[in-house]
Amino acid sequence: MVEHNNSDHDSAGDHGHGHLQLEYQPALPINNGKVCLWLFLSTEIMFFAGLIGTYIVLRFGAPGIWPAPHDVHVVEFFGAFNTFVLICSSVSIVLALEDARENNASRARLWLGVTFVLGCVFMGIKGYEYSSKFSHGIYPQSPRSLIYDRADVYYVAAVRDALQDKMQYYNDQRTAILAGRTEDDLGPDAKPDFVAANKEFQRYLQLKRAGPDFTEQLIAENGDAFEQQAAIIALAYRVYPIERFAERVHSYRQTELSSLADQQMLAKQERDRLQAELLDLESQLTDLDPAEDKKALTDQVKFAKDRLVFLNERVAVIEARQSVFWGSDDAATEADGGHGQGWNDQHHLKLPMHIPNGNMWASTYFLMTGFHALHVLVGLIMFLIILTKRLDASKAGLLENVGLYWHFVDLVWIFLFPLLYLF
Amino acid sequence: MTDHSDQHDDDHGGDDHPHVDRKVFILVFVILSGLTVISFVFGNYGTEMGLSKEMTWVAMMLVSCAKAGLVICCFMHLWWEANWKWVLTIPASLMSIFLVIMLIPDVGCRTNRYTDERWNNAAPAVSETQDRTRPAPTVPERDMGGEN
Repeated sequence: MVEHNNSDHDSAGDHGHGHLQLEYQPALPINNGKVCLWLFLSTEIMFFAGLIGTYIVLRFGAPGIWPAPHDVHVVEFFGAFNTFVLICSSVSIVLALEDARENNASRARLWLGVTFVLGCVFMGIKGYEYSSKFSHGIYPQSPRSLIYDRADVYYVAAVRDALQDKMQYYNDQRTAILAGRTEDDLGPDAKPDFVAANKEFQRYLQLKRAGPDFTEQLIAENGDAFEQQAAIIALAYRVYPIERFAERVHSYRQTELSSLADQQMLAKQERDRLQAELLDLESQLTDLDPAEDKKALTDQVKFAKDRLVFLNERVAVIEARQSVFWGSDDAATEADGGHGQGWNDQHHLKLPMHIPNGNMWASTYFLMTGFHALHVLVGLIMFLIILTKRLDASKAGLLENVGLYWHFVDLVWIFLFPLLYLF
Repeated sequence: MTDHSDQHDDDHGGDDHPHVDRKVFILVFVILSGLTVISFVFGNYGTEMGLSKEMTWVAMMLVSCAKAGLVICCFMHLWWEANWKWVLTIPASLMSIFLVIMLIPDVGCRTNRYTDERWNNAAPAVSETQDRTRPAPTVPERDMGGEN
């Protein structure tokens, strides 16, 4: 056609008769549907370029380190497999178009059905990926998201509050089962429930003592900003391990464990001394003449008893720290780089997690994959509508347009896959 | 196309489409799958192969561009289309590519030249990524004396 136009022009120039035999061309030499679709796709190119540009600004402009895929439960293989699924679906819809052009309606429908199924597989894997993030408390927005960008005192307080809520829950359960009775009065039907609730309560009490309670005490007593930070990061690592902190937490573990042993020894020594002192004071108290003023001695006894309660709690916290926090699971933690070994996974907890830049990651991830999934969904709806028709040569134009849209969806994923899974 | 042939040829979308052998599509499919594997390998083992992180990013983006080119040319039939194809694709692509190319050095790499003082005031505490082996960045004494 272009050649045709050119020859028209040439002949007009050659002869110069003033009667140009121009061919009137009202639009692009394709049908209106295809023009509109390409117009739409060109706006879509810019739409997704805008999203990718946003990602570049937010991700590479973000101070600090962006979450590694495994920090946020992104599995590269799923992304690669979904890429493969979309490529397969692109081939199948091209084959459907070829069959429709050859007027082979039944085979065209078969290939379109294959495309539809592959699109559903893509959405299924996407849904599985989303649910694995949701179940770990990774959401794009705050009421449900458990992600904390910083490991600071607010983070520790949030962990403490979450454990406190758990303890409160099982404490309420305990008191409801007791219903004013003591543990020994419980019948055989209520006893196991009480024991179970009590066990859970004690478990969370130990976690709270070993984690946030100890950390807050350390922050209050220890003025060294580096050690405060290290302790908070250790807490965050115990709740939700992030591989890049493993080495740092491990080296901090050594220093803290040796200082813990000292503290424990000192606390126990003081306790023993106090207990002896208390015995002495009490014997003095009984030996005392009833007429004399007992006030000074009883005050001393009261002070010693209060101090003993404090020391016992202190020893309990230190022992919980040694066994529950730094204890036996450390070997397992190192075995797989710490993944899946946090309290959140071990105890099915939903404690706040420290993921630097995690909230920004969640926003960009869900924004980009969400918009892409919406496009896939629209494509699937169009496939369903077209599948009801007879796909002979008269429908080839329709099938071509839907195919162009579907290829574009594939095209976007080709860029999203490395950007979101492999960068 | 003239009006005449438009009416005549409506069911074919009004444009001629050359017959493309299905083997071409299968070949392109195989190449695309292979390229996916290549970018997967770059992403997961690129640094172990001695590439820098940035080089694996460049490699993966080149692979993605190659894949995108194949999909556009072959599956979207743009290779066989008449010259109208440039009208819409060129402006949209240029705008997107320029947007991305301008954002990378302008905004994306802006933290590369942050001073220590700027880092001290950056959003997440820089100490999170530090340990004792590297001293904390010192904030230069601010000049408080200036009256004017």
